[in-house]
Amino acid sequence: MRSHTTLLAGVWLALTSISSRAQQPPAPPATPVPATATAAAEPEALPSCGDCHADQATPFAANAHGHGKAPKGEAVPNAVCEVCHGDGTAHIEAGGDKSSIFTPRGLAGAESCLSCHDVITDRISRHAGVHANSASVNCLTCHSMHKGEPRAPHLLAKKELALCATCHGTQAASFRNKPYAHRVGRAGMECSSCHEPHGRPGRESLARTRLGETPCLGCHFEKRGPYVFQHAAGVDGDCLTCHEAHGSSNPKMLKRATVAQLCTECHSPIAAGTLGSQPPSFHNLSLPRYQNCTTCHVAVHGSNRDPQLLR
Amino acid sequence: MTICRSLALALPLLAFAMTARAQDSIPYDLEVGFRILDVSGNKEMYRTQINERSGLLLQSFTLLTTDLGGGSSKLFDRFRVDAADLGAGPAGSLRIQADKADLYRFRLGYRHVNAFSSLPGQHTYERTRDALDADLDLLPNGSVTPFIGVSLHRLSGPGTTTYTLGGDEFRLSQNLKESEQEVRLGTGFNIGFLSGSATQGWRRTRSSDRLTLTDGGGNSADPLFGRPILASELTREDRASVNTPFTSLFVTGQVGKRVRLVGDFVRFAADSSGDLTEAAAGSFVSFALSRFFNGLSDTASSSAKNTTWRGGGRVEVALTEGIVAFAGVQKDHRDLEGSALIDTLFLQTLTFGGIDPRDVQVILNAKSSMARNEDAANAGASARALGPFAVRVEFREAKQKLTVAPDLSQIVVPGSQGGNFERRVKTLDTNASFTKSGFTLGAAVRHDQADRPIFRTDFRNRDRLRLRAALKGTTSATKWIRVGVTAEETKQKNDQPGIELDGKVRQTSADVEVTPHEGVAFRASLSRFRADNSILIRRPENFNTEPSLYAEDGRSHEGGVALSLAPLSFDVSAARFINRGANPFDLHRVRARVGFDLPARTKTGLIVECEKDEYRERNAGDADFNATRFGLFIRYRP
Repeated sequence: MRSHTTLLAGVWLALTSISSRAQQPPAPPATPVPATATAAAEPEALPSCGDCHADQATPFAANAHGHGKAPKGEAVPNAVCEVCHGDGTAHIEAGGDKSSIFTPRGLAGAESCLSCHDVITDRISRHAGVHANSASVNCLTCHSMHKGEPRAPHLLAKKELALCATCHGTQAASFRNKPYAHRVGRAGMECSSCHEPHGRPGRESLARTRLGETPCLGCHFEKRGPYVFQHAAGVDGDCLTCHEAHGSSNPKMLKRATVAQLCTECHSPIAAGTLGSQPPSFHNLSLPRYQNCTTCHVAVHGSNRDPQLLR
Repeated sequence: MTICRSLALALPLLAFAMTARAQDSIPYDLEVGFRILDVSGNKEMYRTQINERSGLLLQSFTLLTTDLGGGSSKLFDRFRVDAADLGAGPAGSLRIQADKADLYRFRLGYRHVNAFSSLPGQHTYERTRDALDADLDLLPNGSVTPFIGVSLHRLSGPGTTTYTLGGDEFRLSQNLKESEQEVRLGTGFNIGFLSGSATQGWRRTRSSDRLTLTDGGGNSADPLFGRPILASELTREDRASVNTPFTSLFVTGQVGKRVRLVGDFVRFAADSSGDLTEAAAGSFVSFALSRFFNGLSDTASSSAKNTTWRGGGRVEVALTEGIVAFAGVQKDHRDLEGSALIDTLFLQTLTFGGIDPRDVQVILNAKSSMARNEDAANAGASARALGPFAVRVEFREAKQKLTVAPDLSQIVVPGSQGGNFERRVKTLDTNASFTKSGFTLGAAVRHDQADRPIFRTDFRNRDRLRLRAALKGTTSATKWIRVGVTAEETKQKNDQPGIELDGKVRQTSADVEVTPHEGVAFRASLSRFRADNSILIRRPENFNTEPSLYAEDGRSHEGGVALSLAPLSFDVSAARFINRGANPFDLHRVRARVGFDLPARTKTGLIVECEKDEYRERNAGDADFNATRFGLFIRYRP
């Protein structure tokens, strides 16, 4: 414990020291223009951003940031663009000089998102979360601001499974290729059905139910109980004791190819001090009859009548 | 299923109707058509794994408008409908969103899943799962935002199961109905430096499960002591209801510019009661009772409670630009207790010697209880703006305590598993990344150390390593390529004598995406999954101790090409997954989608889809199947 504390303190000091010398990212616009600004507030002398950037400014009207800000088929007013890009007067006067306008990119670009979206809740943190803004993963890694495609929820740059797969390729491959897997990417089930992409690490990265339960129970509500005789393995809602959530080569998304193997790994009290009773001696695992424990122990998630979960 | 088909038909009609009423066209995107399925081989395995059927399919539908109602008095600022896979798919979804700035925000989501399972030696079921969630927030963006939400869930359908009674196993057909309703009320708030939300909700779950003997399921080929074992009647009916009020609260406070505080608390108390009846008639034997009997009458009334709460607090301090230190504590408590009064009457019993004693009646009051506590604390720092570098370090410690009281029936029937169990897990979790000119290198290292296991499969030491390298072209000369490589390894061990757990999972994947020209994209990926696990077990038939070995070695190869050469578009992909080890099989998948846009004025396109799946098991060929699906769809974008 002491070594960990020392290590943490050292890392903290080192980071503070490095940070003070690190190059500061370009500043986002200092004073964002209110998103409710309308075309009526536009200086008439300036041309519209859409005159040069119609490919971005026109579809932006269908985007969550731009909807209702411009008549249909027209580019959004400059004030909308300036919320993220800052005052464009110098850029316009310089004939479109790229260096005279702020272009939100990478970490610095993400900081301008946070000027409005800096949300912190019991699960979400934009600063200490799994995907907290950094040069490698930031808002603009996953979200595409100018997206005018109405079928892209949350302005995601790609379909969710493909997007997450760019970094979490092994998990995505399990969903796509293993024979027993959740239908992620189809019919409303996405990575974010179970994971909170802006959450903190560990258990906090899970999209828990409103009652703080494991996300599995959000759909599989019938496994919640409570039962008179609860299977202890699931007492803390830890379905992953037996199941592979990201897809499995085994039926029922189990962690083992045969049910008996899965069960006996816990139910073999050779060493004292662990939880898990021993199956009776007449269970001859070499006979097919006993290789599938759930044939008889049908209420494997919990029973209201039988402590051996037989019914 | 009926709901899905109805929605698949109703949504396009709704879109047409709305378009006709609106002054301007409302933009929507509709893809609907028909799919044909051809399966050879094990159709039940196909349904267990894939379960896509022939029939009408609403592949996708999106409607998004800001015009409904018109003028300043319009009902919506924004109205959006999304639907996918409604109809002949095994799962479908519908989502409706409507909002008007500063007045309300409405969200409705519906999901339908058709779950089928029929595997060798296991129970079968065909069930439908429907879930509907609706939330209405009033005065969004205000300082106080009241909300109300409703959730309705339903699971129902037939199945088959087995039941061991009186010396034999009988096949039962099952009819399950489970439903759940939830109502929640609360308010969000954003007052001064405090924001958060408070919710009070009520959840009600009802279930009924009726089991009856299947036709021919009561016969036994092998008599015992010259007496046939058969069941002429076997019925069981279980009913249970659960009521769960719940409360949750979270508060966030901003103290100055640098400090943020978060507190959260959630509590729920589930109270369940059940009534169960069972009747059997036939000829049975019980070795435990040393008797033959001709039937059984069994009733049980049960009650169970689960009280759970979790609460915690966190602080985040911005030390300097981009560097945040954080710490938190979290406490979880869960206790379960249950009791069942079981009354069992064995009818017309005879001892093995042929004497006719009185009926045997057993009244058993079984009780159980479990309590689980977890106290967790964490502290760390995140530096995310060190130029191209980002570093995060966190230390966590969790103390777990589980108390299981042996119940009365477990004392009567050997196999007690009561006791007090404690475990402390310390975790050091670090990750770092470097990004420069489109090149990213990342590493995440996590070490968990526990003092003892609670379950035999719990680790005492676990190490996780994740490495990732990616290159994404950022200049006009290189932006056509993206390459990524990921390697992950998890090792867990418990050297404790009698357990000797040694597990390792390694996963690697590499993928490349090439877009040499606008409208042309190639993608390919390779991945490998390897698992090796060993733990000592005791074989129950002879009490011998031996290692339980599990190994898996799966390799997948995937490739695809997408071409968009108006008016034609192609998207073809193929995947092959070969798994070796405990459950060896080969799985090949091919997907092809060809689209053709008709003249622009028609705003219509035709899409042909073909999907092929081949599944081959190495150990048991009777599970193999070939499945081909053809679909013809019309796409309409007014």
